[in-house]
Amino acid sequence: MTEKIMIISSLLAALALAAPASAARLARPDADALLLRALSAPATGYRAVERVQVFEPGRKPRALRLTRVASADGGVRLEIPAGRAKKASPLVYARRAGRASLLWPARSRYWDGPLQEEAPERSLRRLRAFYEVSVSTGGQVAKRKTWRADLRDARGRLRRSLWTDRASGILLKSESYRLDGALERRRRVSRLEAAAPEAAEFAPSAPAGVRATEWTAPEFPDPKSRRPESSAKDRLPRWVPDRFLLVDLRLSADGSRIHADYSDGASNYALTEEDAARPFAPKGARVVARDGAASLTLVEDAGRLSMAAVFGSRRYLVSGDLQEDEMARVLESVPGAP
Amino acid sequence: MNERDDERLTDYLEGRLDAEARALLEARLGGDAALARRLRLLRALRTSLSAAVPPAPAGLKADLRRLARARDAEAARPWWADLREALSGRSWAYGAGAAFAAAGVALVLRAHLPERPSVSPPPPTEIVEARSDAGAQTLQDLWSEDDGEDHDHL
Repeated sequence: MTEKIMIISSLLAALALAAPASAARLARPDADALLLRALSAPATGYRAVERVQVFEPGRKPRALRLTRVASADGGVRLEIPAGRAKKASPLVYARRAGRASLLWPARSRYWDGPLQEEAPERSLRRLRAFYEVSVSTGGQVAKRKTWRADLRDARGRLRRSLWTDRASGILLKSESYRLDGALERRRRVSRLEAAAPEAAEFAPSAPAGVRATEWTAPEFPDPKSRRPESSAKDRLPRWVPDRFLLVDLRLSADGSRIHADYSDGASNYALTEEDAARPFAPKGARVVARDGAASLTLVEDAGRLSMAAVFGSRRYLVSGDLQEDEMARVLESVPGAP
Repeated sequence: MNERDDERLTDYLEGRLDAEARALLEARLGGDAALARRLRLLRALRTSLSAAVPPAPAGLKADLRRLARARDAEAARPWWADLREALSGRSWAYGAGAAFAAAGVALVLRAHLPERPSVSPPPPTEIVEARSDAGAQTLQDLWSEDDGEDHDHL
């Protein structure tokens, strides 16, 4: 009898000791710590298979499948199948240490050049400037338990949700939403495995006979252009979201205005640079930040978002399929930005 | 948007508008996504035509416009009747045929060109134009239709 009591007492003691540990495991992490981990390079390299889906009103969803390789020193490599033919060489996008390259074998094109990088702490500050964050349990993604972070704008609208691996902190899934709440884009990892990628994977070289092109050269340059785009390239943003390409670039006759279109094939955005003295009073505009001669204005019109920044005598306007923090980062990377 | 708009856009692309008319049109382009898309299409058409067809005989453009108007007015008559007539026994017939073919190619390419976001600022006078390479893979080709479901399986 005494022996049974001792056994039961031991079990109860063990349960009592285990309970706090279990509660600690389930405790929701701090929102900023969670985001910072997701924005930072992973602790160890990995290789992931993922799908990006785009949802447009009145149109069937479209998807892009890709392989992502990431290294502990911040290297990222995306391989996107170039078509249904299995032997077709994939489109390869890679960035590491402030340099990005894109190799597109199907078009015999290769882009390479500097890309503005930033510390994850700065990305976090920008996110927190636009969104309130709440954390909850997120179910399983790629057979891993996740935390879910919901990002809401100043009006309380859900703009983005992020699912991060509880163990590694890696971002496994994200969804972005339109201003009306409809799903706009989803990225989801379906398979994730540890890897030790070589540094060369993050710096693909141009194939023989393919000339390297700067990021600031448009995808469809006009060889007969009377005014080469070189006069505009030094005025373009130094940061472009992953996979996006400059597809069209136009200048006004006097060179004072630039209009640049960027696309990843499914999402598009445009940037205009012009004299700040030009009339600018769109509906739904509100100034969200002001610092001396610099100001940031958010414009919501007909369910679409755009953002304008005035830096000294120049105004930059970005509009299209980007979220608030992405638009702000594009504008912050303009050469004239403070 | 009507035929007059097309003519105005064409004049705009060819630099034949005076400063006031150009400013008015640019203001309209800023608020009219359909008009901006039409400008994009016409620009692609022009580029495609200039790249694919030898120099057209003088007056060809006017003839093509007349053909288009006649086709609109004579809706009961099939469009290929006009085209056949246009292509028969004229010295510039082969050029016109090539122009129509190139326009067709450009229309197909148009479906692959990324659309400008609907909320976009007024585009400035174009100097550097988009050029589409016939047959080449586009960014849109990287995407395919999807079931839209949210699951781990690809």
